[in-house]
This record gives sequence, C-alpha cells and structure tokens, in this order.
Amino acid sequence: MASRRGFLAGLIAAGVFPAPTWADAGAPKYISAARTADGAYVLVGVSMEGTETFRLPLPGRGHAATAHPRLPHAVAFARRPGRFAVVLDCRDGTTLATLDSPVGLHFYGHGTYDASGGLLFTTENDFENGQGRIGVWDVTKGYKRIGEFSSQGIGPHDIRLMPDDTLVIANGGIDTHPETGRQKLNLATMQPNLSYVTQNGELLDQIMPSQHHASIRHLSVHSDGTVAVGMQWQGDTSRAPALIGLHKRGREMALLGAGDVLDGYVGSIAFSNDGTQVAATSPRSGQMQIFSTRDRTLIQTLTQPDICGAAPFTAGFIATTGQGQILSSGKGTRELNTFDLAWDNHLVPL
Amino acid sequence: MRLPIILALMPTLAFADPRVDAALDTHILPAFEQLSMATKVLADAQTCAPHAEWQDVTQAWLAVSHLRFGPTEADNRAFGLAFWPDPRGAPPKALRTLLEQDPLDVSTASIAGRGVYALEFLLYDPAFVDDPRRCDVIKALAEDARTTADEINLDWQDRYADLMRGAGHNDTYQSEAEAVQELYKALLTGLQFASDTRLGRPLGTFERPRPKRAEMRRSERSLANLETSLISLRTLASILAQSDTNVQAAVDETFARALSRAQNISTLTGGADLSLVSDPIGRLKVEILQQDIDHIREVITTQLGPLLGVDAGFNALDGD
Repeated sequence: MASRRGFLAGLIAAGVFPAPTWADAGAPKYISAARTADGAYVLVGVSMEGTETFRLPLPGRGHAATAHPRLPHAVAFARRPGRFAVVLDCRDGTTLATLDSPVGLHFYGHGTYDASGGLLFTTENDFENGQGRIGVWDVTKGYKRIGEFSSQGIGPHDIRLMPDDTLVIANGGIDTHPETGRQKLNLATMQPNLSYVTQNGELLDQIMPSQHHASIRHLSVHSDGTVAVGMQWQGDTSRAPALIGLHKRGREMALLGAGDVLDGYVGSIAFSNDGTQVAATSPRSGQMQIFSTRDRTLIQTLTQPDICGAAPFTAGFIATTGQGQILSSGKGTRELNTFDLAWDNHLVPL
Repeated sequence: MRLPIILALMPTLAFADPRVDAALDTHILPAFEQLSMATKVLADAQTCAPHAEWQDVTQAWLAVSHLRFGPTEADNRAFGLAFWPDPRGAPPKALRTLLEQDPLDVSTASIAGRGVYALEFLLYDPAFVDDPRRCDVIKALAEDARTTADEINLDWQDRYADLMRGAGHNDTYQSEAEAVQELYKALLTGLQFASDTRLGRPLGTFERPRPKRAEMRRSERSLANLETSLISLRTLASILAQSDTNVQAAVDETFARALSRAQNISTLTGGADLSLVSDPIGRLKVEILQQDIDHIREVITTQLGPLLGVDAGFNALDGD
C-alpha cells in the first residue's frame, strides 16, 4: 500500500509540486541534538550567526543527525544502543517516519543519504553475531527499509557519502551487546578499519590503523575524496598515538597531532570548506585542535570545557559545547552565542 | 637566593592537589599493592583448590575495579585479570581450549580464559571438576594473574602516580583539574557499573529476570562483589569530598543506606548470588538497592561535581 506521504514524496520527486526546502525551515546552516535545562531532548536548527532557527522535541537522547540534501528532512538517531531514529520535517516538527531497527539490530547513531536524497544508509549492530551492518532505507517510499549489507567490520559508527557516490564506513572495531549496555566486549582483540564500499555493499578498499586499539569513529569527507578520520584510543591515554588521520584511497593514512594531548579521545572531526584545514575536538581535554592539511602542523587550539560538535564555518570552524556555547575559530576564538542547552556530540552542516 | 633553585628542582610534587595525593596514598596505591600481594599468595599456593586465596584476590580486584585508567588499560592488563561481563559465554569455551592445550601456554590464551572470572569456573563449576588438566590450568592462571597484577602495581608506583601528582606538568593531565576529573569519572563510572551491570544484568526485565547473569554466581559472590566495590567507591568519594564536610556527610549517607540495604539482602535466601531476582518480592528488594545506588550517583553529580568544579561532561563522558 502506498502511503499518502510516499505518494506526496513521489509527486514532489516528479516535480508536480514545488518541494519544500531548507529555506522553509528558517534556513538553518547546521543542526544538532541537545539536552534542555529541564532534561528534555531536542533537535535544534542553527543559523550562520549562531542563532536558533527551530527546536523540535526528540523521544530520547540523540547522537548525530543527518540532513536530507534537498528536502528539509532531518534524521535524528538515538544514542547507541538505540532502536529508533525519527525523520522530522524541520519546518514544523512533523514526524515523517520512524525508523525501527529490525529485530536483532540496533543503530549506532549515524547515517547518510545518497546524493539525490532517495536513499538513506544507517550504521547498525547485529549484536548476537557481533557484526556490523548497514541498513538501506528508501526515502521515496516513506523511509521503507529495503535492504542491508555488511559494514565490513565490527562496530560501524560513522558513515559518509564519497564524491564518487561510494560510501566510507568507520568500523570502530568494538563489540557491544545491548545486554551489557555500552560495555566493550572485545578490547583485547578489537580490529577497527576504514572501509570503502559501493551502495550495494561491495568492498572496494579497506585500511586498518597501525595500532588496533585506535578505534576509528568519526569521518569528514572533502570534495577531492580525502577522508579525515577521528579515532578514540582504547587504552592508557598517556600512551595514546596520534588519533587524527587523513586518508585517500590507495594511499597510506597520514597521522596528525598527539593523542595524549587530546586525552586519547576525538569526539568530532571536520574539514574546513576549502579542505586546507581539519579540526578535531576532544571534550575530554576540552579543546579543538585545527591542523593544516598541507603540512599537518597545528595551527590553532581552542580551549573550552566539553567542546565536541565541530563543522566548517566561512574560513574556519564552528564548534559547540556541552555547556551551551557556540564558538567560531578564525582570528582568535569568538563566542557566537550561548544557549541554556547541552549541545550533544555532533554539529551537522547542511 | 637558593629558594628558586629548589623550587625549580621539585616543582611538580610540591603543588599536587591534596585530594589527588590522598586518593593515591590512601586508596589507589595501597589497593593495587593489596591486589599484587593477594595474587602472589594465590600463585604461591600451588594447590588444586586455592578457594580461600582466590576469594582474597577477587576481593582485592573488586576494590580496584573502578580504577580503569592508566596502568590497568595498558596491554589489556585489566581484561587479563577480569573479563566480565561476557554476554556470549566465551570463558567456558576459552577454558576448554586451554584444558586441551599441550604444552600449556596461558600467555597465548584468549583473554576470556584468564583471570579471576576464568578461575571461578575452574574452582566452582561442576562442569570442570573432573578434568585431568584442571590443576595445571589453575596453577598457570594463578601465576599469570600474579604477573599481571605486579605489572599494574609497578606501573602505578613507578610512573602513573607521578603523572597524577604532576598534573598540569605533563600531557596526560594538562591541569590539576584533569587529575581530579579522572578520579571523579572513575567514581561515577564505578557506580554506573554497579547499578547497570552488577545489578542490572541479573534483574533483566520484570517479565524475564536473568539470575544466571549475576556476576560470580557460582561462588555466590554476586552481592559480596557489589558490596566490596561500593565500599571502595565510598572511600574514593569521601576523599574527593574532603574539602566540604557537609557534602562529604551527604554523600557518605547515601553509601551507608545502599550498603545497609545490601546487608539486608545478604541475609535472605538467594541473596548472595542474587537468584532472588526470580521472585517478585526479592526482585523488588534488588530494584530498591539499584535505586539507592542511582541516588548516590545523583547526590554526587549534584553536590560533589560542583564542589570539585569539574563537570562530568555531557560529551566528555559520552564515549561515542
């Protein structure tokens, strides 16, 4: 049965009706999940000036959100081991669809659309078998699940679309099971990897970090096909290796910075708009480090407790903290705005 | 003019946060020393039935089980000593492999087949009683535990304690606040583990309690482990709250309540191994204990956190 929503989406796709755009949702430039002062969870649109463009309730703590490339749709994922993701119409907060992970699977908190916005890919855990899966959802059929394939590793976390329409997946390598919550079950034997796959799940390329306790978690992709990798060290933080990587298919991964300075933990990673800089946040050490991608040197450090969300911003970067601030880098640190909100891990650019 | 030179020679130790010093000197270092000594006694026992020695090692492990940073996390040491929980039942499989291995080499064994939890299977699970290699494996695992506990203890004494005392002068702890925050995080994580895992696993759901998932149920240590861990966490909390006796008393009161509740449960049938979760009334008692522990966390987050000036960190503690 074709749903009304699917029918409308079809008409929109066919160009019969003018499609709503992000301008209809107050033209946010970023979206982020957050916790309000009274403990509720929300998805918030943020403008270029750091002001709020919309605020919509979420059923629980979010992690990342994914924005549709054209329509004002955002998928807000539950924090792992969440079983739900909601697709919101950011104009008015209407729930367009609720994605329930199939029996035996849970979401990891990230996903990506394809270039046209017709498909959504989500990272998932097949927890009885301890294997990573990628769920495939058809947007034009009201976000119907139409398939899944192997993530080519354990614990897939972030997933991104590459400029050539392939997908890149951060397999963190860490096995967890809902029964034991977020408890890590295989730290002794974990093997993270970065996998490049087609949209049908065929493996094109795969690399592993030189140290198997460097869990590859978060990704940023530049238009030239370079992938920035943010890793989290699963060991004594005083012995953490470099946790920021730059990778291009067919080459070695280049490592940047010092992991112990970041307390062994990168929360978010982002390229600047022109790709000449890459920023990594560490809420544990309370800093965002910005590196030159050309010579891999540290250019700037922003210090702010619980800083985590990071995204490109005009020439530099914009960052959010668990204490409500929105900051920008560039010539010094500038506080754009402060909210009575705890911004959650990721600030997603539109 | 000699003073500046002296200060320059010993800058870091002179200014360590008193709470960090106290935590190291009266809590962390003695507890790892105790673990090291207990594993030595276990390894030296060289018997097939070192039940008493194993109990002491387990007790000593539980007293440090919340201190999961630094030395315990290098080279998978803590996992080699204590692999739990394991939702896929790996320890018995790993032990079977070890029991069939010839020559026996624990250093190459799966982590699931090592440490105090694996030893519990060999000492208390009837499935392993008659295995001809059982004795050899017990001795080898005891020796392996001694090596690991020694490594952790020496690493704390020779290296890591100085990193914490010298917070603000090294990259591991870039400020004194970071060392305090590390301890605060260990306290909160330990409490969360007590509530979510030590109690949450056997509680399961109301429709489906899971008593067989209780920690060390074979040796009936499930509740004792929780109590030992809480007592150790109470010590750490008291040290961290030492600058404000009101907060210290408020936090201590919450621990006292939970421990007294645990004490009551221990007198009930099915209390020691938490199998009473299968019975609705027993289950309710364990749920109330779980709420007591969650209340400790709440008081710590709302009173101790602000006192220390450290925020647990919405993102910093998230771990994604």
